[in-house]
Amino acid sequence: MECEVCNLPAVVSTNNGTLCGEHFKERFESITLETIKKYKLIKRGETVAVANSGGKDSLSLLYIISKYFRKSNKIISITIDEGIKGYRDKTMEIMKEYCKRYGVDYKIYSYKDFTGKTMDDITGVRKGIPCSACGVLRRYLINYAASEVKADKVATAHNMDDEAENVVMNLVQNDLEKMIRLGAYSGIVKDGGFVPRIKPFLFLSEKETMLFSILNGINAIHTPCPYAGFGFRGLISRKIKQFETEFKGSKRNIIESMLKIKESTDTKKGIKINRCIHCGFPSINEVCEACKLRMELQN
Amino acid sequence: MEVKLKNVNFGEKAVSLSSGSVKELIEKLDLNDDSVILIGKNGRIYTKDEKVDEKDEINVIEVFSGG
Repeated sequence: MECEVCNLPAVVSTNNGTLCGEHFKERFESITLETIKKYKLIKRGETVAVANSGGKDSLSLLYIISKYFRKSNKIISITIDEGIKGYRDKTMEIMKEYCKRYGVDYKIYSYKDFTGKTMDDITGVRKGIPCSACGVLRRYLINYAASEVKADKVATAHNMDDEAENVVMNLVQNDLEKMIRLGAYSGIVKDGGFVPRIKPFLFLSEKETMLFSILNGINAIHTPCPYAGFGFRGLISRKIKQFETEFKGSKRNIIESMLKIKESTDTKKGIKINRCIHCGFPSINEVCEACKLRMELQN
Repeated sequence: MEVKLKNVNFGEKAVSLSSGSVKELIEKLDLNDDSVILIGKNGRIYTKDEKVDEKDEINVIEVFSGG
């Protein structure tokens, strides 16, 4: 297979093109920048917090954001330490190395500080799929961290696979309300306690993101979280990759369909945001999910 | 033909291929094109419509969520 631009041997053939290494890197960066421009994700002068685990996706995001926005914006890296021994401790060392290399300050927030327990502890005392508790705490702490560093936006490295999985999961669970909160600019309710989340990699696949990190010599650990792949999301993820292989463009089409539904829906209808009586951050209920979980773990 | 493979999960193993195609190799690993990156020992990155070099040793990198 040859690169569609220069006829050199291709390294990848996806919905975004059949390309050699150099042209793939160029295309990857230009799609990221087009997404930022189209959805007005970053404005000049804003403080952008990059949610950075030290893994392949977030290091690639930090690389591009610092390359193109360091002169016009304040960039800060925030890391959530779940407390997964043998995994997060290693990626955090890599995160520190890359922040130093790109000249970006970083801050670390941990589950242990918030709940008194690490993720390894939580899996020992709590039944069910670890990812559900982890997701609640991570989302909460990313917003908390972004608020604390006074960020205008928090950039996450969620990619096309993550988003397509979210759309399908919400459809299967008949949760349209949650589905229409997805998109490049996440969150539909403006509230002082929410730092808007942006997803510059929305139209790039997991495979492309991984390849971009490899081709740029980003020395990330290429092993997944030891708790990943369980349950519903793991199943949906495998099926979506199978769809994409058989029908190129499936993931993009899933996301485009969601965006059309989102555009035609009154997204603010019926949603009332309260403040959590414990932490003061925005919550649909009187007590936010993260505080509920913290109290459960502390009892 | 037989091709040598490396992977963080299964370590090292050899797989025999009748057609020698990347597509056959991916199917034998029970993966699909969207879930794997195959890198030869000289850094060559294979795409699914190619043939595998007979003497190559391929690093099988599975695409995973997160990070």
